[in-house]
Amino acid sequence: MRGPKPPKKPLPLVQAPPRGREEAVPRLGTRLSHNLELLGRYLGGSDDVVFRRFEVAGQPLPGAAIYVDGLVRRDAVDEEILKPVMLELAMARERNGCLAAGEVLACLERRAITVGELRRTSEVEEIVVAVLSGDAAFLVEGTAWALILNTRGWPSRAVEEPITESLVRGPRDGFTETLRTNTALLRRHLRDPHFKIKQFRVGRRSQTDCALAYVEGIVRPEVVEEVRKRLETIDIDHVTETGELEQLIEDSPFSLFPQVQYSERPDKVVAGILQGRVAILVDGTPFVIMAPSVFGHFFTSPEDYYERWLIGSLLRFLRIAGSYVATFLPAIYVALTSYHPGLWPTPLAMAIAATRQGIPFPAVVEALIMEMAFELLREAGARLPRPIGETIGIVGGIIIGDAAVRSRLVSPIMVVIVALTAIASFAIPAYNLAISFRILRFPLTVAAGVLGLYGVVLGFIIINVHMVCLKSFGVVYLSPFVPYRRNDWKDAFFRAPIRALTGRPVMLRPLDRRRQLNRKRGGW
Amino acid sequence: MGRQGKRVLLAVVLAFLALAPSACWSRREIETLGFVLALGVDRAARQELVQLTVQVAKPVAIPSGTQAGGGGATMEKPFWTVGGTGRTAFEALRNLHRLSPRRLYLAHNRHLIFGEEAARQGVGRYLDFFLRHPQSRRLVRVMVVEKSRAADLLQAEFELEPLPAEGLFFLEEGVRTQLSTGLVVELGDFLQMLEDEGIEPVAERVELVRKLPGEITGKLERREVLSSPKLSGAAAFKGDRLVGWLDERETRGLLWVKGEVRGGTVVVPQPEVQGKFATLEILRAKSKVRPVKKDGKVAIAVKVETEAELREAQAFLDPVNNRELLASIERRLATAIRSEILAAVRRAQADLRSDIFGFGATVHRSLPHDWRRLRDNWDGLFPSLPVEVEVKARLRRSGLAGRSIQIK
Amino acid sequence: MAAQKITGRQLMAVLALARLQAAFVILPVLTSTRAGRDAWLAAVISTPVGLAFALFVIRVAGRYPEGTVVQFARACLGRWLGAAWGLAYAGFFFGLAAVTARVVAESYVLGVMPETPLIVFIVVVVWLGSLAARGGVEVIGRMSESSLFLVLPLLLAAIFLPIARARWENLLPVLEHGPAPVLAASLTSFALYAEVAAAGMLLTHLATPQEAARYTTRAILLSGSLFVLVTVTVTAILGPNADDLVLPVFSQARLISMGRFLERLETLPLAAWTLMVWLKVGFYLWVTATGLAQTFGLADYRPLVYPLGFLAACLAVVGFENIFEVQEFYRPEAWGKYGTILAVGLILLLAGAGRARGKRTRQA
Repeated sequence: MRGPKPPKKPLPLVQAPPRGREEAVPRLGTRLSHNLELLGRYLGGSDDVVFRRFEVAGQPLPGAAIYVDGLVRRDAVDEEILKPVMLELAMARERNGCLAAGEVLACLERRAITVGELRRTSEVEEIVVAVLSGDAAFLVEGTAWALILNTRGWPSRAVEEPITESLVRGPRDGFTETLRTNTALLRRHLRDPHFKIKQFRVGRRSQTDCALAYVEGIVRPEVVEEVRKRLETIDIDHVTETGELEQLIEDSPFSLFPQVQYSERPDKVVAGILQGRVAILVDGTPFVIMAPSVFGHFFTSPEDYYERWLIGSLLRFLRIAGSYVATFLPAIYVALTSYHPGLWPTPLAMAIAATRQGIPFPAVVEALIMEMAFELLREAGARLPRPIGETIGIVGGIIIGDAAVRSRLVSPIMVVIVALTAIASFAIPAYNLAISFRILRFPLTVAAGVLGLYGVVLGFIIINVHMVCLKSFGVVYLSPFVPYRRNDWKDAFFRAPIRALTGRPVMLRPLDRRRQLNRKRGGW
Repeated sequence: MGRQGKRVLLAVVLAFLALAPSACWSRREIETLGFVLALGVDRAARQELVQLTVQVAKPVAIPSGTQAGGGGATMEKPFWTVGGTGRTAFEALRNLHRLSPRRLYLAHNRHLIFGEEAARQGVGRYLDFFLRHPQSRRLVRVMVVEKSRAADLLQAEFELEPLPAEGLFFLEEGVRTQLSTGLVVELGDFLQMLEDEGIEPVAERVELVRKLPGEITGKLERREVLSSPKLSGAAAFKGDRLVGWLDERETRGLLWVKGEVRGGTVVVPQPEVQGKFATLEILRAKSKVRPVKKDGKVAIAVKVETEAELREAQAFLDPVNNRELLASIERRLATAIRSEILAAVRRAQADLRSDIFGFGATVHRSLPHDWRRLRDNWDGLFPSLPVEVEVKARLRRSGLAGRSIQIK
Repeated sequence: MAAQKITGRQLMAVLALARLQAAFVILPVLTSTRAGRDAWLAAVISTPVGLAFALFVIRVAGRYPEGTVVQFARACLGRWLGAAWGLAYAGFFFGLAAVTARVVAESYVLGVMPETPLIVFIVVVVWLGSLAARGGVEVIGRMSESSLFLVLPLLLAAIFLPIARARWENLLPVLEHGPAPVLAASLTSFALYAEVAAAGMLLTHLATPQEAARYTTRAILLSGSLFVLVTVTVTAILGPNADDLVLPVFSQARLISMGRFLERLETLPLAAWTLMVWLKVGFYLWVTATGLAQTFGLADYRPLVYPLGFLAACLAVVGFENIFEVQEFYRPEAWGKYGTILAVGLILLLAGAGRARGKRTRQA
């Protein structure tokens, strides 16, 4: 009776049905017309829901298939369900004789329907959700069971190279909007039987499919439990993006810093899972989030590992330096020009003094104006179609910048500073962290304009206090620097050679600590 | 944790709200400052006053790369020299604000220049200000202008450098590494020499070289450089008073003893030929000064070791095949160095009567018990202090050519 | 509150930074005044003595693992004497927090921003310190640990970048005036080690109490060796007469000059130093608030932090008329004597009382 897969039990995470429906757990009866009426109460009235009635071949037995047009593979419904059920069962009957009503369903399931994944249920809610998810429901007169047939198939994007995280070297596949494709992409990287994908639904109305992915035996069960617990508390009608989910489950919603890492690269997510983290996938978005995430995770790129270690280390160092530049450069420029001109080398001090001659604004105002202008340009360009966006870049960056310098509104050095800051902020691989840094430089610039370097140091202290307070799912955000874990330094500021990375990060406290068990030492 | 985040956010906002309106006490935009690049101290015509002269940069007039490519250098001088008087150095500096629309800013000052007259009367009274002022640094170079006033030096210019103060700085570097005939003395060193027992201070010695009228330089529309600084020799002090000068030879003698010769040339008569000279470049040198006790009397033993390279030989020379010749040149080099040292010692002992070498300090360090006895009478003892000099010179290589030109 | 835990390394960082802060401004001055060019010897001597005292503090505090030294004092000295002990202990660190805030403010006004009113620096640093103190010992511990990565390189840069100007012969002759001035100076520098008594509040928060002695030793050795290093270089670079400088390390950093473009970097050690001062103020405010709360049996120390911070800022502003009084405070006759007597005396008293109590409980 059972297929190779046990029938999927509804996860505890399934949302309660929408309120206002009277029945507690409505179930199917044995009469088809009653059942159709029951389902029609949920699904009727929508023109994209198809109720296809038919008679099972060779039997005087009416049946019905229910599916949402556009969410199913049309040929699957036609060729794998309707055709065998209506035509081929006749041949079977000639051999076996007439079937009792109760046996028809079993017989169809075994002999006629050629859809791979199917399950039985009698719960109306489940049927409704399944149909709305793209499955076809198959009902026959005389039985209180319905077959749920996986015929899902809808127009979707192919697996393409991820736009936000393109690499020079590395796999080119990226997640798509379809959950199943995404889990398949993960599974293709990781054939470990311990790699588990647990599905659940979020969204009272949207009933969005989500999945937890992790490797049993590596990840701490407490972490999975914590993630699950937080997900269970979500009560919202609709979730489209992992970004929303992230904000609902992160530790400090008021923090400026992202506490959950996202990616649209399967290789990156698999690497995260193998570190002992949990990935959360949401149907309808190519972005997968990973928790717990620490500060250092946002500076890594898969390329760090694909290139040799020295290159990877240098790139990582460059990104960290870039983050400092993006955050502190305008503030330090302001502090030095307005408060400590002695710190500039003499020729540079002369050059800055010369270029600032006749500029109407103090350095701090000048910096704020220019940084604001840059943010404006970036925002204007980001939403526009590419050709127009480029025009904005040219008009804003080159024409306005040049004119502003010529008309002595801003000094050319300020333009250099702003450009450097912008470039540095784009060197950070995580877009969400880069935004945090870009925001931070505004208060820091103001602090520098008020108290000089003292202000910058105080700003640094405030940021630091905040960061040491942060935690992501029980892991201190600044690990492995604070608390210091020497083992994890191998893969923090720099990346040690792969051969030296024998263990998983200790800060995530994985159950299985070793990555390389019996590595042979020495060369060959 | 959420509360923590909110609190920090609130704290930041409050901090800026509280500070912003009242802030900016110490703010001074860079373009509103007058960068003092060199500072001169003279005695004013009225004897009890200090005359302070500063050289202030005019950043806009400094020729930059883009301008130079265009229509030639500007006629404008990139600096402004202005002077004023006061009873103290600081008062004089503040009085300059009557004339300067820009706030004078000392952090980029590189030179502290004393006129000869001021130096002879004692520089101690002026120095305190440079120690106390937060913008002033111990890296400032201390120099004395010979036969002239500091104000005149601050008007002098270089042909090659738009800013005289910068030019002076490069001149010092050049003299230090190419010649070792002039001193480079920083204020910190000068103060240590002034305060420590058994050593007397020395300072840089600058002269003014006036151009002959009619000497044409460069483009005609350009300003004419009338006088240029020349760095050579040293100014010797006793206490805080200038007592005399060391010429270039004696200065290098002093540097040999201090072990501070970084480079420079020594010309020695070439062996086996008459009237022809070989020129050697000093590569490195070190010295060891030790007090020795002979029959209860203290003497000083100076040991100098140096390495040199042959740079020029006027007559034929083949050091590869003639080792004896090589040894002979080395001996002559050692003799030349020794005579430089002895000249310096003689000058310090006989004329200046000032322990600029710090022989007393070495006695203090090595023989603290004897020093306690000698200290009070050191000024009387120093002129007759026996100084033994031993020089070891090595000729290491001879440039790209092995032997010199052989004329047929 | 008691659930907050710090690691051994964090304990080390907290203690080392609190010590370094004082060592880098004040200490070279006061040892130089007494011992001249032999100041570094005083530093060398005081380190093992300080280490012994620190280990003694750890040992005494370790005898009462279920609480802090203040609770220990209440337990073994009785109600009134215990309260007096707690008040003295809290007051000691309260005063130090105020003086520290004053010193950093003075240095900023002296060194880089003379026009800005002193009170601005004091208020900001005390307020930020209160923020850390309210965050609790975890925040202080983690901040110290992360600051170590920044502070140590900056301080080492301040020490070693001007090293080319060092004249090592400035250190000679050794012990010209005999050992007496050196010993007197080492007593003074020991006064700053007496602050290690603050460790008594930290032990109960340590995740691994058995490591306390090891990490305290490391903290003392780290700060002690840096302190010796800085005394040696200050004497070698600035000369034996460096005692007339108000901020010797600052002056030393002003001598940095690398290839004409890295010059005048004195603000870098000042930045590192600000970090240390802030941590120290936060730490000592936390010690004061926790100590007071435990003395009076309050459940939570946090409501005390801001009022104490306000008082500390007031004390820092009005406590000293001018910088000469601040310097006077740190002289051997003043702080060197009374600070040491107070800290050592308090701990000795506690040790004695603890031993008596131990005997009593054993008899019972």
